[in-house]
Amino acid sequence: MSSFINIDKHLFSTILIVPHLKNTSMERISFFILCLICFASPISQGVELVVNSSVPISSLSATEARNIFTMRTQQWPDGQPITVFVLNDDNPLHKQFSKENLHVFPYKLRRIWDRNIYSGTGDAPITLDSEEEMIEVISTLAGSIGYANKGGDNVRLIKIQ
Amino acid sequence: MFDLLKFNKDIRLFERFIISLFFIATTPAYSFEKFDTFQVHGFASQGYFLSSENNLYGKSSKPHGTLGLTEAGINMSLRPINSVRLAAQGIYRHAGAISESAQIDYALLDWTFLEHEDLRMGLRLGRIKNPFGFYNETRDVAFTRPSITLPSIYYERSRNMLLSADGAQLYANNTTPAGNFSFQLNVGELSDDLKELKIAILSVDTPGHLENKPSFIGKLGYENTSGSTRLAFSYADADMEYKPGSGDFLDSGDLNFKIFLFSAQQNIGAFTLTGEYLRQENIFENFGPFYPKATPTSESYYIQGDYHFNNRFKGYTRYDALFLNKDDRTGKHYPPNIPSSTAFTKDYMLGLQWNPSSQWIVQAEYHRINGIALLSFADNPDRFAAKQHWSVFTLQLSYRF
Repeated sequence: MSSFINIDKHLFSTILIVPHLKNTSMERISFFILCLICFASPISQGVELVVNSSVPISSLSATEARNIFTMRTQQWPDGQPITVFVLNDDNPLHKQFSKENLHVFPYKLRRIWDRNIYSGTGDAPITLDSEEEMIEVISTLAGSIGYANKGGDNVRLIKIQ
Repeated sequence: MFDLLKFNKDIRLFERFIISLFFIATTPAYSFEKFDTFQVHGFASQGYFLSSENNLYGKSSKPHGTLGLTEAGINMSLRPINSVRLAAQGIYRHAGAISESAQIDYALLDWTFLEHEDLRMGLRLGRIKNPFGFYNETRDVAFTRPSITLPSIYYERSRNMLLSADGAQLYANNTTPAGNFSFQLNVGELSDDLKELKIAILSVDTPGHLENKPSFIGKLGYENTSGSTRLAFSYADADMEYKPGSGDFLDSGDLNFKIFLFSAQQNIGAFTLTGEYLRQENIFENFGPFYPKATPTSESYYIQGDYHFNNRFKGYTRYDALFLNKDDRTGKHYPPNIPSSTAFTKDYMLGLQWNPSSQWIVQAEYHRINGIALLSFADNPDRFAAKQHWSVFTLQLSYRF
């Protein structure tokens, strides 16, 4: 996963430089090829939300997802309590999910959770060790939500719109 | 008539009840699983202060400095049913000569009585942290502070007055397309340990003491949908009574504090700008012929910029000012037995924060300070020995789980 991110960053910087060069036909062609590779690379698929199959929704907006992961929304529309799972703050998947899907820096999420738990006014999500554990736990617990790159039995992948 | 005093005694019993519930809930018979609603968290931090002159949190003045600020705490929360949460935190705090204590920081029952689409309302009962500005509710937790020590709006002297209330809190939270709106109102009795505040008001130590009466503290908050803008308005109305000691030259006096606090924060990428402004209207009266009625208005504000170089490093800078009487900012009209630099503090600060992992923080700060309004009497008994221009170097190590 991380090697793809590195390649992607490299491509991105190449693309940024290319337009500043003289527009010879050779460079135009290589620029086009680079763009193709970039769009085709697996990184563009991104992380997705994972919910237990009991969760009665099919899509969430970025704001709704942020309200769930900042522990503000505590129930699904059918009244079922929400249990939120995350990976460690330093986990690459957590950083990617936080920035790309929620549009929040990981340290800001941590600040919000810390404000909750140390003031007694709320909870923090439950931290798990790996993506595999995340899928396994979510498959067994009704109303639970997390994120992953892949699906599994008894869980659904949900896109953030 | 609702008897608040009796109510508070009931609350203390109620706290014991909550704590016993936790013990029952955490006995081995209770099967603890990773995804249960039971959570335990804690923190510990140790500060080091080295000042050119004057003392902060112990004997911080050169050559050795002091390790006089130690904070540690552990908390638990449990959701026995969906609409009810129990939460409690105990803290230990050593702050120079001012205080060393272990106490229940909060212990509460949180009942969400309304959960309808994007609106949530509830009631918290027990010992509840006071919602006041961006940082008061978690003022003893290093990880939630914007710097090693909080700006002067949250000054040590008012800490006990603002810390928590034994009583009730009504809260509401509404998520709208325009952002999130929140409301909290605390009604209850504040802490009684007010010695620093008493000396600050009377300028001398006396045999008497201050006693709290039931007070109100509330906060209105707004956050936009992306979370990049935060605004808050807090208000506190606290009443106290001065109880004369034996041989006291003062009569039983009345004190009233009305505090207005405006808070704003804006994030732009990795840059965060935070500012808060406080105005405190004080009324001190009925102390007898030796202390005529006084109605000073205090003012305090700061502006802080934070820049996150990456996930590990943050640099920050702040200008922080406090004026005990906004009509006499330089202390020109202070009586001759009080140095005029007691009237104000202006603090320029530069800081660096390093997070080696999500559980640790190492921080370093340098302050250049003009004025001594912030100095504690316990650490600096002689006001005339204090220097008006001074500087402090601070280090802090913090751990959380």
